[in-house]
Amino acid sequence: MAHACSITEGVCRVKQTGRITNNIRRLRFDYDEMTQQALADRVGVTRQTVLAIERSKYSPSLEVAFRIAQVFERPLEEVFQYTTE
Amino acid sequence: MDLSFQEKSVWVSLLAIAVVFGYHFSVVFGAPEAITSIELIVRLIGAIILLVVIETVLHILIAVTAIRDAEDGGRLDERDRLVVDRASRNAYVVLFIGVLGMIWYIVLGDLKSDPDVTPVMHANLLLLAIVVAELCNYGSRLFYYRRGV
Repeated sequence: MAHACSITEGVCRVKQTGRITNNIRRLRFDYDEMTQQALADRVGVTRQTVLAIERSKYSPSLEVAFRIAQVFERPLEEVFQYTTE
Repeated sequence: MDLSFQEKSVWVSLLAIAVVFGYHFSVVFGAPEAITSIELIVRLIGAIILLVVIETVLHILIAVTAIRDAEDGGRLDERDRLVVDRASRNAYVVLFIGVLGMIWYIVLGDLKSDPDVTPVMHANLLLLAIVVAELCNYGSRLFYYRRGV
């Protein structure tokens, strides 16, 4: 955790480094073993992007994250988690 | 290796540019004094035509082998766009350094009245900067596709 303080502004912001994880793989399995391609088609991205998201190699935009959550009919925080280190 | 149509397309462009311009530069830098301005233009046009032909043929091949991906292969999703943006940024830095180096080379060559610093040599070095920047662009895309963005 890094601290960025400004004496003139009188504020001290805490810059956190975090990691976004997700349960997409499990949710796909629970959702009638939905394929990555099927999820990609419904969300409007490529299958490789779904794969990258599942492996936490790519953090999707808020819009795509919401669309994924909508597909599984779950709230966003049940699909994606943000953990600070 | 699980490659998307976009990733295969980048590999094709990278290899085509490396082969075509690798040959071009090996010839023109191999005997720089023998290349005239007209010959350079003819060689350049030939290299560009060859590049277009190679890219077209190879893109048809990868589209045929991955029809499902190729159907929406022309469409970039948000991850593809991010990869392109970051790779373009890297390529810009390389091009910027190349052009700066070129300016330095021209000024120094002019000061020393170097006979090797000919307009044809200038053109080839500028072209080299563009080609290296393009290779950096495609190489960066492959790196980001594999490592993640």
